[in-house]
Amino acid sequence: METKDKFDPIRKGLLEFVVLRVIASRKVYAADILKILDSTEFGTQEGTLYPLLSRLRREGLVEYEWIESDAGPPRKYYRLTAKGDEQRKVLERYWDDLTATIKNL
Amino acid sequence: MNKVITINLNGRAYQLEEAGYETLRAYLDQAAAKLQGNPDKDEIMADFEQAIADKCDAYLGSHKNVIGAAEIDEIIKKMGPVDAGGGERAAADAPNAGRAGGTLPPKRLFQIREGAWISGVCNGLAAYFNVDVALVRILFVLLGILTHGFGVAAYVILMILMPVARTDDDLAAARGVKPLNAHDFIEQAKSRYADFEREFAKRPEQPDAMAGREAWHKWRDDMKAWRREWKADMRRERGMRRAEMHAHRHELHEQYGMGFFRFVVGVILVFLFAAWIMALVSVVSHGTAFGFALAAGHPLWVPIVFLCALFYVVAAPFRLLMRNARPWRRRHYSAFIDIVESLFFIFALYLLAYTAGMMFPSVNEALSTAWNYLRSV
Repeated sequence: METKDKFDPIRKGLLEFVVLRVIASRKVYAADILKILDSTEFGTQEGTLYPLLSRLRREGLVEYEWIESDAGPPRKYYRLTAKGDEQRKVLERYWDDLTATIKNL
Repeated sequence: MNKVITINLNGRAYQLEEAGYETLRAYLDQAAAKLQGNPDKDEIMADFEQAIADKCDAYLGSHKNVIGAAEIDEIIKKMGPVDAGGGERAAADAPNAGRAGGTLPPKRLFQIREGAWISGVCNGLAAYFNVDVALVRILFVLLGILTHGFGVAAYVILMILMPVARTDDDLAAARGVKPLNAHDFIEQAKSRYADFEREFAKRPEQPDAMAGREAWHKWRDDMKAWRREWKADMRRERGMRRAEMHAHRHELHEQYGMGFFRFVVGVILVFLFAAWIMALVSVVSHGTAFGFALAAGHPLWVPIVFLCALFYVVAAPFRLLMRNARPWRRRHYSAFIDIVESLFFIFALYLLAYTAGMMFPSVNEALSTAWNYLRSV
């Protein structure tokens, strides 16, 4: 089993955290998120990302606005809500704790 | 030269090769089924369509205005399987964990409507315990007889308590097979088609039963080739398969019109079945059935064989009705015509029985004795 495979479930579970971070860092629409993640270990696909974004929106962590694009139809640009930003910070702190714990084992 | 189909993706027209259209249709149907129950289903579906449209745009240019089947395959591969789990956290982990470990998820008890007589309780129990549905039915009827009707109450309670398997995932859970890992939703489409075709091959009144059987053998051979180079082969066979599968899915949405009818016929079947089992029990235990005593000197197998034949003949028209009221008939109206045909058949059968009764008083007598016996029960 490759290292990558061993962390498969972990990467999957981290996707929400990763997406929150991406959205926090810049103004993005879905295809941007995919493109950004594609160059990392967290590459994913529409089939996974769209249902995830819809859940985050339902939970009030992200919101979107329609912005006209010069090529094609208007796009949904996502940003974090105050609650989403709070959630991101909580997750970041937890992630730091986790990595610190692992380092100290 | 391929036929081109124009589709509307989020308000823009795209032209696809027919085979590509069927693939895309299957993918989107699949996605919709996966997102069943998700409050944002429509929105997510619209997003999917938009993403597909964007990907189509990448293939189009001034010299090219049709999306090929191979390009649709590419696009769907890029879209990836629809992970309904992204929507519901708890549900996300269970199937994935099962998949990663290569083990099966726990089976669940569902009513399975496909091939059901009444509501699919026996069907679901059979799937759950992995036994033949006929055995479960026999057990239920025996239970009903031995406990003076408690079995019927048990059935009704189960009918109310057991959820009905409505989605592919439900069916997978009910049968304990691997839930669709959407990467191979195409595999699933193929196996559906195989079921579909096997049904056709089995159906004796189907004039092209042989053709169906041959087609199925051919399909099976194709499957082996597919595994090796499925992409190339897909292009050849796919259009037709998709169309069939799509028709099938479409029918499923229309099955509810047939529901009541199927229910009534199912109840009649169950009563006949119960009467048959009772007669068998009675013959074996007391040597009588329907008021007829077993004549001395006859071996026991004679009445048993006779009862089996009788049940087969009496139940045949109802089975036929049941089969023709099946939702997965190809066209709704043809199912209707088949039902009319079957009703005619039943009518003719009873007319025949009536005539026989007129001509041979003993037959009439036997029938009325049987009827009186049934009433006294």
